[in-house]
Amino acid sequence: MHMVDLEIDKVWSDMEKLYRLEYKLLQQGNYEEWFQTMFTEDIHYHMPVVSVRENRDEAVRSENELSYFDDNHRTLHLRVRKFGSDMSWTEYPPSRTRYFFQIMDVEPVESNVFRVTSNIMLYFTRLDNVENFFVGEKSDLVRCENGQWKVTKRKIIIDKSRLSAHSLCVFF
Amino acid sequence: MIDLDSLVDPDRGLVSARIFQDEEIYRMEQEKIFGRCWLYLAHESQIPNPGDYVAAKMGEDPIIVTRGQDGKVHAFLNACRHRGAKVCRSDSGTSKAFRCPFHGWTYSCEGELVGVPRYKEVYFEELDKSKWGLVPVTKVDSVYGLIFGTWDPNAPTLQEYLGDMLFYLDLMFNRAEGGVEVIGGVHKWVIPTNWKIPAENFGGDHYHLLFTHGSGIQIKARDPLSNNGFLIFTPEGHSCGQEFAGAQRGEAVNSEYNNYIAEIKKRVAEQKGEVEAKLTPIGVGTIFPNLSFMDTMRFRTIRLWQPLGPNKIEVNSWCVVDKNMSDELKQIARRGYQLTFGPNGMFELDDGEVWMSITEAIQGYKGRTIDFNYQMGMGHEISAEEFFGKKGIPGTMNETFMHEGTHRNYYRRWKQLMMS
Repeated sequence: MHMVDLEIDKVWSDMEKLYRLEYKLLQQGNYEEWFQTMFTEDIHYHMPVVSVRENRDEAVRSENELSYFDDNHRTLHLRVRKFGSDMSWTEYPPSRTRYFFQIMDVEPVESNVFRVTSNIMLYFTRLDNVENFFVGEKSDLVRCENGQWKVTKRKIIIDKSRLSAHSLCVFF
Repeated sequence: MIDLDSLVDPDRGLVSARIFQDEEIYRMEQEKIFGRCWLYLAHESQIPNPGDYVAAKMGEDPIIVTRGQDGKVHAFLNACRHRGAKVCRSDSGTSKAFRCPFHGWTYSCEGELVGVPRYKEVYFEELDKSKWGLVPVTKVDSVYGLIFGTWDPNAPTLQEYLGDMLFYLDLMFNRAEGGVEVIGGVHKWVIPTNWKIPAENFGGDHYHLLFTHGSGIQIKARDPLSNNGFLIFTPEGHSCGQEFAGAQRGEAVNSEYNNYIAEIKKRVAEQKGEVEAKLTPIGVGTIFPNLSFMDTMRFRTIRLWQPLGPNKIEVNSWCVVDKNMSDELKQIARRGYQLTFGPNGMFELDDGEVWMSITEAIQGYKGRTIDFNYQMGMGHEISAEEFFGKKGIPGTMNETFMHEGTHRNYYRRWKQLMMS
């Protein structure tokens, strides 16, 4: 078997484990530990707005245009800390989240850096009657730091131009 | 026949929950409010070149706003005159013409019917194309690039409609060379609530910052609210206001935009006066009926609360920047907006929860009969002229920063339109 295939297989298997841990933490509402576990100090966490355009390649808004998340380490942590406040009304009562993912591709980018692309789905409910599906794609640049994979760049595209949610009170 | 007089009593600070959930009242609003007021459509910066178009709505009516080949702004009902299909199904783009996918009727950017397939063969050239163009929005006008439209042929001019609020809009949109532009893209999300609830909230509810946005204050994304500010309303139903030190100050979220605003305030002081500088940025407000805005220490946003029935809205929210800001500063402003407002903004997150629960509480037999209390500050009104000691500063405010005079004023206007 080719050396690169073995390497990719190993990363694929490592990322399966990491994403399962990630979603366990998010489902528990353990946002602080999620944040500390998953991201490098130079993280760029980006979720662009999707628009209805005539051409396929115009739908996802560019880096300088409107997005939901466009965060660095500091601002992402600010959001996480907001969730931890006892006056965060989207957390009291807590939401119910159930994440699903399927890694679609792992490709080497440079030494110790891989791009991992997944399809993701979040089934989200709140109170009695709030129910949302968030389905889309997650593209991570992951880097091995001290034997641990961490995400250095995350781009999330949720397949909606208009959110049917009253608040996007989740992380992806 | 609904007795609106008994349901809405602004002079006593009482408004019945009924008007926030009743289907019949909602239908009346579509005619008497959305059918007659000037409604915000788009910003000129979104359609700079001939052929550019952007989708909009007036109430529940889908609208296309175009830049014609004549260089002018046009707006039409997005419904083919043949049999009603939408002739444009995208958010925005550029097109020489709009062709209906149903039977191919084709319209120019000015809304004229220019193409009918088989016109000779099956229409015998008998159809008078000049009579079957897209239904134009009756009046279209813009101020500071903000394009408004109305269906009412008897509507006052846009300037008259905005009235005293123009003074404040000037401070918000007309303070840099070249004016403002809208950053590409629009935040769209659906909240199960009545459109008037967020409209009145942005119109003057600073009181809710303490608790709805308590989490933002806890993490220092916002300074604790002081009692030192202005909150004005104008006779046309509009309002705006903020603390004097500026809305959305917060140690954890300071950015270079603060310095930019400080420069702007200096320039306003030189060109207009100390009071005008004190009023800049103009804070949070609402243009009657459903256009709200935030002019803060870190960004500007404008948004529409678009009605989808009495218990549901679609929010459309944009980020506005000065054209002559550096690219870097524009991005700082955009990120500042997204961090705190928009569907996952640290502040806006909590609003959706609260507004949703109001709607849930008032659907039933009893809930729809309760009166909401808008009595804060009643009897303590003072004119802005008197407060600031300067003639020409428009609007009515209150002896104290926080008050609900803006809400009472909003429903006075609402009632006047609904009963005429």
